[in-house]
Amino acid sequence: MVLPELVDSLLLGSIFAAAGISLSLYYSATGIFNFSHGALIMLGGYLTYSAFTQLGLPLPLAVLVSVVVLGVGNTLFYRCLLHPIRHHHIPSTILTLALLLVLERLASVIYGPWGLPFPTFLPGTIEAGGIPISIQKIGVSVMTLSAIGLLWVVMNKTWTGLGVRATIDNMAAAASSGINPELMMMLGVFLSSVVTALTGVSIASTLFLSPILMSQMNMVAIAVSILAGLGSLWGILPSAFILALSDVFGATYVGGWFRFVNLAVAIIIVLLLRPQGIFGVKERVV
Amino acid sequence: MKQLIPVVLAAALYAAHPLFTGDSYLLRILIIVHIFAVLAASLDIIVGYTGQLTAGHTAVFGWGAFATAWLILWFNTPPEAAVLAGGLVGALLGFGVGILCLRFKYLLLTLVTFALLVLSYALARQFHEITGGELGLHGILPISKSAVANFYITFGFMLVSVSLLFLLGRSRVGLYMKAVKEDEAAAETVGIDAVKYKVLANVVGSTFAGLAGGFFTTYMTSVGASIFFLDYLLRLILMWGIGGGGTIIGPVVGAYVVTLLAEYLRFIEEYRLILLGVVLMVFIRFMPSGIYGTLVKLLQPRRVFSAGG
Repeated sequence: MVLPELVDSLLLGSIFAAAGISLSLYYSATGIFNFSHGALIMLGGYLTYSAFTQLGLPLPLAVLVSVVVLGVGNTLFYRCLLHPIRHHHIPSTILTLALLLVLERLASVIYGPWGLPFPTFLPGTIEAGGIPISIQKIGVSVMTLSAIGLLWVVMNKTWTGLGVRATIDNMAAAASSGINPELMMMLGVFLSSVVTALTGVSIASTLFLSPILMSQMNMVAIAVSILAGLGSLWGILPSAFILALSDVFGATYVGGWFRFVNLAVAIIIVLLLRPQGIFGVKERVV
Repeated sequence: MKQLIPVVLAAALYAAHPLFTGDSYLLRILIIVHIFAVLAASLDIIVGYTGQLTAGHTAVFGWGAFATAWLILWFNTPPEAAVLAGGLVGALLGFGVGILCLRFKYLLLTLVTFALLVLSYALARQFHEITGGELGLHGILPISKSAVANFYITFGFMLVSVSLLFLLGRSRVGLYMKAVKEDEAAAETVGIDAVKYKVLANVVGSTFAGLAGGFFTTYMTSVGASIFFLDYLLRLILMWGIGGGGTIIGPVVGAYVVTLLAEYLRFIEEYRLILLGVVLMVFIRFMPSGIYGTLVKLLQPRRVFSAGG
């Protein structure tokens, strides 16, 4: 039987893809690799959890609160602290590591170090090919994939997206054609944060919320974006599903330990053999 | 030379204090400070001098600690010799990582070394028969059981290591390393062998990291997979950034500040690391030369005015 694993990897793959694409967009837009990405993802989940269960807001509103808070907060953090030092890679990387430390500790102070179950909002299961799949998981995957689709539309079909992409491609040329590069960078950070928050919601509602997941999602996002090629946005989908497939099948047939080494080994091998990523559309290595 | 007198006096007072006060709680903290000061200063040779932002420094530290532990537990090596072997393992790992890192620059180097750290943790967890997994190996023979003796041993270790690193940083080699950090291509055009100095920095830094790992495991008498936790790396970066990188002395100052603050702020529990993280952000953004660099700037006589008067 490979069907259950296949379904699992599809669900997991959509989460991997969302985690990777927001990291990749952040990196493309700003040139800074955000080591606190995993923590920001979980923050999105925690904020939704608080708004949903503690403030009692309806779920869509709770998600909106999380998206707005994370989007505005992360953009402000970028503008005030990271933007002025974005050309110095050591201080900017260390700043994101400091943010990781702060967010990880904050999460465990406020929500406790243990896993926090997210309430079920889409109860029930459906049968597909003889195996039950929870409707919530399907709903969440659909939501995640549509968020990625929406990002694609914004980036490729709107003037704003064109501005962000132009700034990513060639900042001087973009600036000389009347685009405000600083604004576009902040917009890129904001768009990335929106997807980040949604990723957090989908992880929270299919797995659970815990500070430990922060560093694991960090590894996931890093591995996916490196396999796709740093800065390449659309290689993300296939590489996310490749990693999710190897994760699920490896854990089932090789053993649970495979999960631990899988991502780290993938990062090292890809960077050694093909640093521009497996889909290497264009070389944009730092 | 005159400015050195208060420094020497303070050092002598610091060295003599365990003989007068019997505060073993403070001694235990200071022993850890000494070990981490060496680790932070050795990170500085790699990051602050050649600009290779490695995330694998605590991995080298951890494997040095494991090598020391295995030698003591399985081969009945005297702890002193086992610690030296930890340094040797550090040097070999540093050579390997240094060669590997030649292929990568800037961010990619950080990512590869980060993956190596995670891989180290995964391996240590997986092969728990030899590493003890999360629970770790216990009953490692210490160099000495007395806190005062350990204070002097680690203090001596810190003095010697930091002096050596400081002299290296001040030497011609140190200048070459800084040149590589500022602009590798420009350094090569004036005949500096960037490859040589980058690998050298990794070997030297990792040797001291391995030694620090050896001292750490013999002092703690245990070591486990948790040594590869991201926590150690983040703590190390706190010390490096708050103290002030690129000066060797700065990270040592950082080790004292961070460890003592973390210890004496125990009453605010988890919030102390949040506080330190915010402090690091402020330092990196607004005072990138850290506590030490800022102090040096403040204490320096203002040449502009004194030249006129």
